[in-house]
Amino acid sequence: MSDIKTGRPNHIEDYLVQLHTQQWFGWADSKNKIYANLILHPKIYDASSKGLVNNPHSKPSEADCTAGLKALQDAWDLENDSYKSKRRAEYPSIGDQLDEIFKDIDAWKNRIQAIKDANPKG
Amino acid sequence: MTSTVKVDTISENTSANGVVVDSVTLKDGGVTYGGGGSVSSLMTDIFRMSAELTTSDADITANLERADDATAGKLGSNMTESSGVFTFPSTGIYSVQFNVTGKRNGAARYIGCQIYGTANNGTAWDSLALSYESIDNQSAEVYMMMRAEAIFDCTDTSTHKVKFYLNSAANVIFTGDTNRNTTCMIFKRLGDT
Repeated sequence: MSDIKTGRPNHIEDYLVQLHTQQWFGWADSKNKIYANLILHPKIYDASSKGLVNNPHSKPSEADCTAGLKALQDAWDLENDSYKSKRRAEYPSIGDQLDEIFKDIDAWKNRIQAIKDANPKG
Repeated sequence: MTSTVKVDTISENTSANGVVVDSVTLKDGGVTYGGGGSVSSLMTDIFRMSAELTTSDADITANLERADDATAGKLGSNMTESSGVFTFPSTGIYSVQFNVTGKRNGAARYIGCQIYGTANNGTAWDSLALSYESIDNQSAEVYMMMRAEAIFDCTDTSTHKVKFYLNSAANVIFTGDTNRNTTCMIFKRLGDT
């Protein structure tokens, strides 16, 4: 599972569990969750019929899993370790911002612009 | 006067009556208490989900394993499991506990877990216990934990079984781990039916 402290994805299971719903995959050796041990269950639960049906999914390639995990990590990094997260940490609360907009909208604009300038994109 | 009786074996004098000690009857390895209830054997067993599961509506049907940590405790006979349906090792009164951990990035107004029981080998299932949780949107993965528990009267091991169900207002990743118990099912035999 993803890093419990940060939430950053760190295993291909983080990708697999987001690829499809239900228990469509498993591990031939649950103590060794590597791609070579990835298996597809022949049957999965079907919510509409409340029973088991044939697993409609196919096994993703190892390259798909690796790329899928990297995409999740890139998305996490953008949200949590980039200008977006730094700006988010410095912005006042929505309530405080609305209060400042009501009282002095130019001061609010200057405050927000200063945070954006201090944490540029890229 | 205080006295002590030291013997190697005490056997019943009258066949089928057992041995009574201050209103506690010992018979054929079992104990019947003077205040009510009898226990012929004890057992505890624990299964856990070994891989994560994304769903908003599902029985747990796969990726189940008995806790196998080096120090994992187990007592007495085993539960058996097939496609998420659990069979008891003997008739009796059992405590069945369903612990669930999950996570989601975004709100889910309700997240539920249920224990279902059958008295006719799955022809019909009855919801025995239900617990709800929820997750607020905090722009990051938020974890939740919930537990449902039932006391199950297994009068016939071939027909009386249990299974475990999850649902939620939006997809939730229910955690499974092969190295520790996160989403797990605990079975304890409390006494005779």
